[in-house]
Amino acid sequence: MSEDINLKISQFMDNELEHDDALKLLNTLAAQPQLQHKLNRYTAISQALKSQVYIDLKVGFSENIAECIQKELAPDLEKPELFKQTYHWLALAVSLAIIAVIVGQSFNSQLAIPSATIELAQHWLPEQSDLNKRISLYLKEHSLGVYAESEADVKPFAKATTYKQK
Amino acid sequence: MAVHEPIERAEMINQPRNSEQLDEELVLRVQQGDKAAYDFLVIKYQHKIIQLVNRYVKDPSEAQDVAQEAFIKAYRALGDFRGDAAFYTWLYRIAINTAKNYLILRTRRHSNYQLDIQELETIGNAPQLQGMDTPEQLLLNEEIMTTLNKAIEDLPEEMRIAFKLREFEGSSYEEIALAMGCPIGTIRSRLFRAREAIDKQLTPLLE
Repeated sequence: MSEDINLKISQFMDNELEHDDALKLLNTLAAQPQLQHKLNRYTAISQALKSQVYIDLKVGFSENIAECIQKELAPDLEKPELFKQTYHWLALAVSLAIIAVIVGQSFNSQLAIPSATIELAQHWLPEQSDLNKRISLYLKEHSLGVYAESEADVKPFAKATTYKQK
Repeated sequence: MAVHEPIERAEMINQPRNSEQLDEELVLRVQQGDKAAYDFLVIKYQHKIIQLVNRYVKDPSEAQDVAQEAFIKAYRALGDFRGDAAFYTWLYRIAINTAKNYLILRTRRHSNYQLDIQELETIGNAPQLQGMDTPEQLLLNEEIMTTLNKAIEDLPEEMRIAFKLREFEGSSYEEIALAMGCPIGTIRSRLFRAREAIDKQLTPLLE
């Protein structure tokens, strides 16, 4: 039995063990540290031949890591994914807001160009004042100065009423 | 560039599909919250990572501490691992960066001279000094390596050829079987027996 497991360990080390067998072996190794020792010895020999340095693994190397990891939060794949999705929407919203601000500013700046507005006003205002003068003249000529001179008095209305009665 | 880095890179590239698939499955399990699956990845790669770190950090004991740190860092970052590269390639980079950072911090703390990244890269040029902090360690390593080489030469010829093809040429079981004209099962058995024989000869030195 032990020889069979050691044979599998040798095979596993060479990456020649089938997927399911490798998983089974890893389960066994995790449960039996003395078997891990065998894997470490085989691996140490193999590595020493490549590097000319033989390194004997400290007792409890993997157990110490396992202990530290127990205290850690599990690395969650979903959280970063969700975060990234939120981040993408947020980035899109910020981009749209920036575009809106830029477009708004450029529109305002177009409106704020004084030359266009003044030019328009210069063309429009004299005509307006000519028309006003003509209307005022007409109203005066027809005794309707109350409208032309903006005298909001009751009297002219009374006059008008009197005139109608006459 | 370190002398042994190309060997390690070649190993990374030649990582068989079987092994990569197993890693992918284990990584997925860890990402789904199965912490025990990470123990499997540690068991699988601990020795390779320690050897890698040891090229940068001379003391084997410190190298193991740095390797532990690298494994913990990798665990923390595993949520971001998308499998664009093989898991071992990714882990390899983390381990190298952890070792370099460790050396930079240690240099800042303890020495007056500037050790830059380029110097760190060349550390592996003296393999006989790697992992050797004391003359006793150097002597023990020499003794182990002599015994190891003698144990290989003492193997029966068929075992020795299979072992050398595997360890020095990186041949697969199938390739060795073809070269030696025998079934894969025989190669499997020869390699296992070769390892057992070498391990037996080394045991008195290691205990």
